[in-house]
Amino acid sequence: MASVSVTHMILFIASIIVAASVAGVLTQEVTRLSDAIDEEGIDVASEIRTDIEIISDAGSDGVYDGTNNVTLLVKNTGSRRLPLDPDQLEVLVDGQYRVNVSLSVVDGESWDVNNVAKVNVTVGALANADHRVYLQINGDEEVFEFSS
Amino acid sequence: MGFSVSGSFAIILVASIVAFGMFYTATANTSELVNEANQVSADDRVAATNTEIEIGNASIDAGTLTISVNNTGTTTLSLNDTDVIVDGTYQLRPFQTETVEGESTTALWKPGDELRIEIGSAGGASRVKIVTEHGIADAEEI
Repeated sequence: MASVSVTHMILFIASIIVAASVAGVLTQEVTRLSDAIDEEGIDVASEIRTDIEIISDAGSDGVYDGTNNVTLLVKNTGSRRLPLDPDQLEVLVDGQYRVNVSLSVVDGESWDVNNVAKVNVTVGALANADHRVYLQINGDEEVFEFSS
Repeated sequence: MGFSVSGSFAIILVASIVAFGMFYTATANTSELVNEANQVSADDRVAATNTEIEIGNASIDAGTLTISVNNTGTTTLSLNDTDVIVDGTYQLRPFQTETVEGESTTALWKPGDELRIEIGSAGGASRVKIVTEHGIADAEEI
């Protein structure tokens, strides 16, 4: 009789241990999944809230200075403040990735909603032809075409 | 045997409820965030679609550039968020004069109203562009 009780006790403890392990793994995995969903949600929301518009006047001579620089005026038309960090702004001129990019706000301290930033790209000498600038920040893309 | 099954079941049940609680909180927060962002973005798009401006006149008289712009859309625009670009150069406020229908104290540019901007020392200017808060713009040769 005693041996039956001991067997029951061992089976009980074993089943509790197995159940506790399953429960632990389940909650741990769901926690990780929840954290990932949270972070992804924040990223998606900030992507949706990001919107820029290149407001430079392609009809004027203010885009290319004739020797070295392309200057674009970019307005924040979204609903969140954008980082004033050239590393987060991807710039392609005529399909070529550019690293010499500087960014400054012309009508305020930070690149808040409706503020305009000046994007200066060092491109060297451009041929006398049509050119295309592609900007990308936080998933929002803009294309601007001008002639030099 | 009976205790083992019900004990294990109880542990797994409690863990499942806790896990579902966490999962539900995360998905609810995320969908709320994304929905709110979508709504704001949709509102902005509607406002941009309803926005239209037209430069009525841009002229230079004695070095002063005078621009008259009409709000021909159906949204009320903010003067502080309206940008002026002359010959590709951003013009910083304050301007020499900036009035809406003759009023210099208002910051609102209502539908149907005429915005009049005067910029001094702009004798050689040849082209002007006005951009509203939604990115809707109009340009004019002087």
